[in-house]
Amino acid sequence: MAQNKKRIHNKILSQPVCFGTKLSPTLPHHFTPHAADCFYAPSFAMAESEASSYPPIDPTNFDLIIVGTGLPESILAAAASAVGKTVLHLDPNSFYGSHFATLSLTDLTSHLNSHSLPAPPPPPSTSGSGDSDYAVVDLVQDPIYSDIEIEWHGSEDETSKMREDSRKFNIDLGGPRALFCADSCIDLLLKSGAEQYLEFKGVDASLVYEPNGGGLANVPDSRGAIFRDKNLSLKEKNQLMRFFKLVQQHLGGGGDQSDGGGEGQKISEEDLDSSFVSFLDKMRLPPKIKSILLYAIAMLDFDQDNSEVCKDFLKTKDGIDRLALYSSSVGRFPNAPGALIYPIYGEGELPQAFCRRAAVKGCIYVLRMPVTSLLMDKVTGCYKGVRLVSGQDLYSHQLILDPSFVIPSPLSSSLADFPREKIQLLSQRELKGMVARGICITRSSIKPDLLNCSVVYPPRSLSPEQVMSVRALQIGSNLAVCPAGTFILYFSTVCNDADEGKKLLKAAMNALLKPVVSVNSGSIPVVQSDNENVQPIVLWNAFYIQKVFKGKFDSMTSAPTPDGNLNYTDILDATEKLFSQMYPDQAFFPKTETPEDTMDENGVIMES
Amino acid sequence: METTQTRLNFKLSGLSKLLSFRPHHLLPPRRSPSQLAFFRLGSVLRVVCLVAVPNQLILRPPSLSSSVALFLPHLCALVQSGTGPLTGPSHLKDRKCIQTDKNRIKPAEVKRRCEHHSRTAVPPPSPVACECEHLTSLASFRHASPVASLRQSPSRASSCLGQSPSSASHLRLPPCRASAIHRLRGSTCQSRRVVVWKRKMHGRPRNALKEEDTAALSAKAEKLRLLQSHFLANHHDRIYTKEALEENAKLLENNPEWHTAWNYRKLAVESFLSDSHSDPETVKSVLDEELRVVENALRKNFKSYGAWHHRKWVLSKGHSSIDKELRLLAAFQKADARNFHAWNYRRFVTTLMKIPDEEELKYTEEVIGANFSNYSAWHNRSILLSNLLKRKAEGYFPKEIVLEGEFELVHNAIFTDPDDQSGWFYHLWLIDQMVKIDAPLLVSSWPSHGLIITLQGNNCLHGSGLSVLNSTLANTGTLPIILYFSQAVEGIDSSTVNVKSELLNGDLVWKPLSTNNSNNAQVWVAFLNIGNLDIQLSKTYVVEINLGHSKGIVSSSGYDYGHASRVTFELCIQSAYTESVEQQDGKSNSWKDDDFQKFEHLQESEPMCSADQVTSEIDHIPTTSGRCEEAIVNEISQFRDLLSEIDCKIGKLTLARLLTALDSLPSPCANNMVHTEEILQLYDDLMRLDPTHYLYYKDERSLVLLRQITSSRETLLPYCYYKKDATEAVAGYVCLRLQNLSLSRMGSIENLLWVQMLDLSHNQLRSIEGLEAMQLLSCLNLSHNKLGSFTALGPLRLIKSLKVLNISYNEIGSHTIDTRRYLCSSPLSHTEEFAWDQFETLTDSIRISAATFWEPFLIFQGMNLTELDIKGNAVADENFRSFLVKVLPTLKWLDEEDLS
Repeated sequence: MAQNKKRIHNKILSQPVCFGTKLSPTLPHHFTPHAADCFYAPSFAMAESEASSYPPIDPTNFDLIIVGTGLPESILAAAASAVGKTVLHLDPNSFYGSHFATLSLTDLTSHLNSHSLPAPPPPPSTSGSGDSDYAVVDLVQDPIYSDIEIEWHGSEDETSKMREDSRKFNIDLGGPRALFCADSCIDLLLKSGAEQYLEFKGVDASLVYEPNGGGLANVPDSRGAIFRDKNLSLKEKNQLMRFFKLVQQHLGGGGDQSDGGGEGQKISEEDLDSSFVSFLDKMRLPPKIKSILLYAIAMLDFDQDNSEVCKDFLKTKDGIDRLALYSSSVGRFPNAPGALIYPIYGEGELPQAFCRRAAVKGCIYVLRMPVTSLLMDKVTGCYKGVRLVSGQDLYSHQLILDPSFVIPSPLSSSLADFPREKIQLLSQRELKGMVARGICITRSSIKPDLLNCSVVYPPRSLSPEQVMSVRALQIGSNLAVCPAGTFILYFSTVCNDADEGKKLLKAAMNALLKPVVSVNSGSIPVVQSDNENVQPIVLWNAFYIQKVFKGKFDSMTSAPTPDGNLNYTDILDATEKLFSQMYPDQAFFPKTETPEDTMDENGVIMES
Repeated sequence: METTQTRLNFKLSGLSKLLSFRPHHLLPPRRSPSQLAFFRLGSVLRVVCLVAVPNQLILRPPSLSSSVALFLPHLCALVQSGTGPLTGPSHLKDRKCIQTDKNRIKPAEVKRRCEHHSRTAVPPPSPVACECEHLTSLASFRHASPVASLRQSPSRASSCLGQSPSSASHLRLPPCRASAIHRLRGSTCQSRRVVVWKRKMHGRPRNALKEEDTAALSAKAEKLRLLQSHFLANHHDRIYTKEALEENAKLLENNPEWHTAWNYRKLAVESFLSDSHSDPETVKSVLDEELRVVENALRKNFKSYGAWHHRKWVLSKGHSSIDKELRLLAAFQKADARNFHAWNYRRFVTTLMKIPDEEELKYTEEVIGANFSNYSAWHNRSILLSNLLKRKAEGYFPKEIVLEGEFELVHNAIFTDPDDQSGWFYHLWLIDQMVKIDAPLLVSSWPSHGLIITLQGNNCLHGSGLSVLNSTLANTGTLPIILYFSQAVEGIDSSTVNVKSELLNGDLVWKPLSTNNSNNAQVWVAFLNIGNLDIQLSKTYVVEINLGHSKGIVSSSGYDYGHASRVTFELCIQSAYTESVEQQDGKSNSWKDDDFQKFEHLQESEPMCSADQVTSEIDHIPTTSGRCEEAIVNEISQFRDLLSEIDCKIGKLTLARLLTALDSLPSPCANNMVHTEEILQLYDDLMRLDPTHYLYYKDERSLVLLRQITSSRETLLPYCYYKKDATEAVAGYVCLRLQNLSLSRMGSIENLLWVQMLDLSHNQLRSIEGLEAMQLLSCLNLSHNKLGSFTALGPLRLIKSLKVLNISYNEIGSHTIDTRRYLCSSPLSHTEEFAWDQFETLTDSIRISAATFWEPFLIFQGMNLTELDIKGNAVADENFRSFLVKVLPTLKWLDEEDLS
C-alpha cells in the first residue's frame, strides 16, 4: 500500500522539483530513490539539450548553495537552515542521497556504471554570455567508483524475475552501514528533529567469523550474550566479563558510591596512553577474545599485531571509548536485540530525512539540476556563485560541493588572467584511501533463522595474509529493502589497491556463500559437507572500489564521501567541523523548544 | 497480632532447622540495620522481617523463597525512629518496554525516555512506597487517604536502599546511563537534555515535592477519602448494587492495596452467585468484570498482593476463560522479568491450564538467557525440575544426568559474573540435590551397636571403664536409649521400633527430643526401666532394636524411612541394685586443668565411640552412586579453576562446601576428612575477607572441626581426659574437653552421645542447639562463652540427667534484646507450657519483677541441678541468686558456695 502511494507520488514529481518555504511539514513529500522511475542516469548531454525546460529559480541570492544531497550535505543544509540561513540545495541526480543513496537494482547498476566512466568533456564555456565581473570556471564530475564488476548468477528465470522486481530492491551505495544504538548519529537525529521521518529495526545479531572452519559465532557483547555463548570456555567467559567490568568501572567509577569493592579500579594513565592491543595483552586475554574485542567490538580495520601494515593503531583510551559505545548500545532500545540498528527502506532514508528537515526550515530543493560552472571573482579569485545547466546564474556567500565535483585541470583559455594557484588549490581533493565494497543478493540467510546480522572477519581469519578486517551486513526483507525470500549482503574492506580489496571481499563472500560456479557442474568438492547444505547461493553480485575523500573547507567546501567504517561517527564529526568552520558563531542545531510530548506516566502496556 | 506472630514463629522454627541457619546469624553485632526489611506476607500486612543474612550464605533451598525471619524489636525501634531503610520488591520501571508494533524503533522514544528521566520531579508512586505506607501508617490508614499518608511517611525519603550489586553491574545500561557515558566520552554535541544520573535506586533520583504537586495530591486524597467513606458504608450495610461495585472498583484501581475492598468484592460476587446460579452467561460476565477490575488495579501496581490474590480467587471459581492469562502474564513479565508475583501466578495458571512442566522449563531457560540474574526464574526452574525428577518424567532420569546439564548451565552464569548471586543460589540447590538422600536414616544410637554395658553394684555403668557420675540410671534405675536420625522424623513408637529383650517390661515410650514441642525430631529417646526388675546377676541381657521394617517413620518432608536397621547391645549387671549413694563428698566439681589427666594410651575397652564406629556398625548406609562423587570432584576442579582466576568469596565458600560434601559422602574408598585442613583454611580466609558474615563462617568452621575431631578414635583421644579425683573405686570419669577451639556452634553430636562430662569452656558458643541429644550428660561446663540469654540454654531442659552446670562468664543479661527469643518456642507464642501459678507465687514471695525472671524460670524450673556456676554474667546479682535457690531446690552449690 505504502509502496503504491509512493509510486503515484513519484509520478507527480517526475518534473524537476522545486519547493520552498511554503512547504508544511505535514505535506507528503517522501521521496524515495524510485523517483528515478523513468529517468535513467541523467547524463550531462541530455541535461544540456533540455536546458530550456528547466524552470528558473527565484530568488537568485542565497547565503549558501549546496550541490549534492549526500548525508553530509543534507545535514549541513538542515543545520544551516536551522540557524536561519537561506539555502539552495541542488542535485544533478534525480534521487536524493548522492553517494549515500539507496537505489533500485537497475538504478544502482546504471549509476555505478555512469559514475565510473571518465568525466565527459566539459561543455563549452559560456563565459561570454554573462557579465564580465566573474570568471566562469567549469565543473566536472570525477567518478569516485572504479573497477566495477556486476554479475548475474541465478538461472534465467531467477534473473528475469529479479529484473522484474528491480524496484523492490533498495540497495545502499555506501553499504555496509548501520547505526549503533548509542551512536552520535542518533543524538543528531533527535537534535535535528529528523528522527520523525525515520524508522529503524534492530540488527538481530552481531557475528564474528572464526577461522579454521569455526564458522559464524555470536559476538559476546553483553552479559547475556556471554552467558549464552557456546564457543567460549568458562574461563574465557570469566576473563571477558571481568574485562568488561573493568572498563565499566573505569568509565563509571567517578561516583562516590561504592557498591561492593573494586572501587577506584581505574585504568592507569600509562595504560590509557599505550596501545590498546598491548593493554589487552597485559590483561592476559587470550587471542580469541582479543580478536573479538579489537575487530568485532572496537571495529578496527587493520591487524593490530602487525605493526608494519597497521594504519590505525588504537590507544587504550580510544579503545575503551569504542567498547563503551558498543556496550551502551546493547539494550538501549528495548526492542533492538543487538547493538546495531538499520533504517527501514535503507540508508538513503537518512539524507532524505535531513533534507525534509531543511525544507521545513525554508531550504529550497531542486533535483535534476546539474551545475555546470562556478562564477569566480576575476580579481580575487573568490567564489561568487554558480551557473546552472539552465544557464541561470545564482549567487551565494558560500558553496558546498558534492565530493565528486572537480575543476578540470586544463583550464579553458578564457581564464588566462585568473589566479591559477587559487584554482589549483580548489581543485585539490584529499584522497584518504579506498574502500572495496561488495553487494550480494541471496535466496537464503547466511545463518538460519536470522534475517539481519552483521559479520566481522578479523584479520587473518580468511587467510594468514589477510591484514585488514572485512565487515559484512546482511539485511533481510523485513527492512523493506528486498522482496520476501531474498537477502542483501553488503561487504566492505579498506584496501590499498583495487585487486587486493576485491580479492579479500570475494574470499569473504565465498566463506559464507556458495562459491560462484557454473550451474552445470554437479558435484563440487566441499570441505565442510554439513555446512554446504545451508550455504546460500548468490543470485547477483557487484564489486566496486570507492575512493574516500575527506571533507575540505574553503570558499567552496567539499563534503566527505562515505568512509570505510560501519557507522557514521567519523562522517558526522567531519560534517560538524565543516559547519563550525563555515559558521563559527552558530550552533550546530540549536536547541529549540519542542512542544512537550505527552507520555503516559506509568502503567504497563498490555494488550487487552 | 498474636496470630501472625505465632504463625511465623512456627514457620521459622521449621525453617531454621531446614536451613541450618542459626538465629544469631540474623544479627551479628556489627550488622547495620540496613539488612532489615519489611515485607508483607500473604495478606498480613503487619509483619516485619529481617532479611536473612545476604542470600548467598544461607543454605537455602530455593523452594523456601520467603525465608525471612520475624524480628519484632527491631521493627519497633526502626518504625519509631523512622530511620530504618526499607526495602521492598524492586521496582523496575526503567525496564518498562515501550512497545511499538513489530519491533520498530523510533529514536524519538529514546528522547522521550530520556526526557522523562530528567524530569522526575514527581516520581510515580512506587510499590516500594506503598509498602512503606502500610507499615508505617497502618493505624492512620483508615483515617487518612493512602496517598496523603504516603507523603507523611518518614521512611519514604530513605527508602532507597542501594541497588543490588548484581543489577548495577550489568553490561546492559539503562538509557540515561548510556548517555552519561556519552558525556564521559566527551561527545561534542551539546546535550540537549539534562540527564540526571545519580546512583540511586534504579537510577531514579528523588526530589522533594513541589508545592503544586502537594496540592494536586491532597485534592486526589480528598476524592479518595470520599470514595472510601462511601465504600465503607456500603460494606457495612452489605449493599452490593452495581453502582456500589463501580465505586469500589474505582477505589481499587486507585489503591489496589486495600484488602478490605477486595474482600468486599468477593462477598459481592458470592452473594450474586448464591442469588442467581441459573444463568451461566451472567455469572461469566460478573466474573469477567472482576478480572477487568483486577487488571486495572494491576496496571496501577503490578505488585499488589490483594489484586493477584483476587484474580486467583476469581479464576478458581472456574467460570472464566484462562486463555488470556498467559498473555497478561507475558506483559507483566516483560515489564519486570523478576516480579515474583507474576511468577507465582504463572505457576498457578500453568497448573490450571495443564501446561507441561517441560514447556515451562524451556520458558525459564529463555528468560534466564535474556538476563540470568533473575532469582525468580532460577527458582521456578528448581521447582519444575524437582517435580520432573520426583516423578521421573521421561528424559529426566536418572537424576544425575539431568543435574549435570543444570550444572553446566549454571556454570555459565557463575563464571560470566561471579558477583551475581542468583546463579550461586541455584548452584547451591543443585549440590544439595546431588548429595542429599531423601529418605531418613538412623545415623547413630546409644548404646551403639555391639556395645557391652556392664553395670556394677554401686550403680555405675562400668561399660568398660565408663562410669556414671550422676546418671539417670543411678537415680531412677532407667537406661536411656537414644536414636539419632539423619533428619527430623515422626512416627517413632512401639509399633515402628521393635525392641526385643528379656529386660523389657511393657512397651517402651519414645519421646521426641525437640525444643519446640513438635512431633518431629531428629533425636528420639526412650528409657529402659531396669530398676524394678528382678535381674539375674552376671547374666548378659541382649537388647535388639529393629526399625524400618514397617512403615510409619516419615521425615518432615514426607519420605519414608529408607532401609531396615538393627541395633543390638548387651547389658550385664554384676551386682544387685542398691539405693544410690548421695553426693560423694562435700566438694564441688572442679573444672581446673590440674584435675584432669590425659588418656595415655588407647584401649579397646574405652567407651568413646566415634564416627568410624558409629557408621560402620549400624546398618549399611546406602551409598550414593559413583556418578555423584564424580560430579562433585568435577565441580571442585571447576571452582579451583575459577579461584585461580579471581579471588571471590562466594567461590571460596562454595569450594569449602563442595569439599565438605565430598568428605561426608559415604564413599566406599573411605578416605574421609582428607580435606579438613583445606576447608578450615578456606573458612579462615573467608572470616578475614568478609567480616560481615564472620559468624556464619565461624559456625561452619566449628562444624568442620568437630566433624574432624569426632571422625575416629585416634582423633578423639587427645580430647579425652580422666578426672583425677577418683575417690570412687571405679576408674576416673571420662571427660571430653573441647576447650579453646573457638567453637561457635555444636555439631557432630551423633558421635558424642556417650559423653557424660563435657567441657566446652573458652569457646565462642552463642547457642548450644543440638546438645539435647546427649541424654547421658551430667556435667557440663559452658563457662567463658558468648551465650547471650537464658533462651539459649533451652536444650538443657531436655537433659534430665544434668546435675552440674557451669555457665559462668557468659553474656547473659548483657543484651537488652534477646535475638533468639522470637526464633525459639516460648510461652509468648503458646508453644511452651509455663507454670504460671508457681511463677506467681515465686515472684510474690521474693519480690522480683516477673518481666525479667520469667525466662530463667522457664529454663531452670524442673531441672535437677546440684551445682550451678553463674558468676561473671551481667544478670548474676544477689537478687538473682536468691531467685535461683528458690527455683532449684536440689541445688547444693551455687558459684562454688556450699548452700547446705
